[in-house]
Amino acid sequence: MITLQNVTKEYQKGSIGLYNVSLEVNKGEFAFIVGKSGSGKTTLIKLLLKELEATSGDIVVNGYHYQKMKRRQIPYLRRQIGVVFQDFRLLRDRSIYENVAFAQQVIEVPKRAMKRQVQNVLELVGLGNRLRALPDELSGGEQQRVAIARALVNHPALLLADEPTGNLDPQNAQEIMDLLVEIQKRGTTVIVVTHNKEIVNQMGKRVIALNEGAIHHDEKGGTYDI
Amino acid sequence: MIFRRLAYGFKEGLKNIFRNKIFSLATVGTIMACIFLLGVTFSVLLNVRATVKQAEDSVTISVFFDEKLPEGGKDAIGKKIKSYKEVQSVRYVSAEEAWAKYKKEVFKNNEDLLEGFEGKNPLNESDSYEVMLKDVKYHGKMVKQFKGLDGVRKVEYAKGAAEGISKANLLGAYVAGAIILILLLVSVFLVSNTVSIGIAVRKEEIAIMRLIGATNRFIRAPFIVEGAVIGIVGSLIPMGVIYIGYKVIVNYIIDKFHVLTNFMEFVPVNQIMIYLIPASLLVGLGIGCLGSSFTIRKYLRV
Repeated sequence: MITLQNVTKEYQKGSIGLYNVSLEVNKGEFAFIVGKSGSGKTTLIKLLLKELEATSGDIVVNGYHYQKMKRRQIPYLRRQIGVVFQDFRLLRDRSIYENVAFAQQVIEVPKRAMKRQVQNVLELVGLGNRLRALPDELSGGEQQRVAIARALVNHPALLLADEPTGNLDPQNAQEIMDLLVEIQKRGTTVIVVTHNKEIVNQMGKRVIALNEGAIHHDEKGGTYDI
Repeated sequence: MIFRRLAYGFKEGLKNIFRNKIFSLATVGTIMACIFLLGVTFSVLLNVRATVKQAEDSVTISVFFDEKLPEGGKDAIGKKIKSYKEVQSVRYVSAEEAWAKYKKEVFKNNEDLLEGFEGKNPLNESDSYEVMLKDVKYHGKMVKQFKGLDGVRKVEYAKGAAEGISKANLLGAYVAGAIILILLLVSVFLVSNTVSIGIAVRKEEIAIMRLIGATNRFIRAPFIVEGAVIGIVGSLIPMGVIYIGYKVIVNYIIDKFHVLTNFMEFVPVNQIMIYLIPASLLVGLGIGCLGSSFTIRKYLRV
């Protein structure tokens, strides 16, 4: 699903974002990426989304070879990747339904199919009865569920969650993690970037720990310790 | 697919206009001012050209012959003059016709002064060719050519008028061109500004669109529609103003300054609008689309 081979990202001012990183994530796998601020987590996410170009090395995601790709193919790559952010990034002036439907509108899904798929995905995240609500009328946990629904509605092969529980209380954080595991069980590869030590240690999933741009350890059933 | 994208572009483009009401109105206002000035310049230019054309038509060259020209000499000169590609028409003016015209112009209302001339033609031997050129700018060159022809005694023409008209024509075209160019640039800049504000307002939305796989074409569509609609609205309103204003002003001038109509003829409003409406629509649309596509392209490249 994801292959990184000797990937280095050097920024213009000479600082290193990622140094000689190689890793592989299989289809349907669940993995945490952990590390202190500045360890390279965000650089890795941006490289996977092709928001940044690697300075050297190869990246392959779901058959897309990043180094050989043309610019115009980037939107089609991104349709394979659902993204969830810490700050939800919902459109405040649109209803929950419209926020999720927006993702389908962008890839030009016919209206009837869109209606069905949006309804289904909102039910999956437990918000099937809040279609008309505006984001500000929902709790943080609910808003993150909407963001997950938006990331999932186009059936991506990979779900990237960047600090999805960063703004949530422990109970909501746990519920979101349970939802992500449920999504993984349905066949989607899930990668979660997090600082939440408790959740990582408790879930017993694969942990890829970064330190100063390099892989510190990569263990199945691993822990947060760096 | 294309229909869906168009529908989305229109819907979101119109929403953008209403979301940024004040800036959209300001841009429509500025485009209106530009197109209005463009329309006024165009109308004035068209009228100046019509007047110049009228004046041009009256600027002819008279070619007189040597007194001892052999039989058939005048015909040969006529043929030679006709053969120049710059010549529009050649008319033979007999001595009798020349005298009759002179009498009419000079002795009008003083016919009694002509008594001594009865039965005589003082302009005998003053028959000539009256030559009209395709363009007044050829005057100097052709006068030289005609003077050099065998059998030609004298060439007469209104030197100042011919050169003045030619220069005025050229100057008018340059000034109008410069004004129109400046206005167009200002308009493109303004549309670009308005679209920039629209982009800033929707920055978050565009960022999300890019992350979830929207193509650049899809992101661009609403902004192009926004620019195009602003351009069209901004060009249609001044057309109405010019249509009504032109009629009112021309009627007023004809009414109050009747003497002007002796040497200038106003171009009918419909004749102006036939060119002005499509030209303004195209310019408005062009300004709108150009301004917005430059801006969004710049933004999407980053």
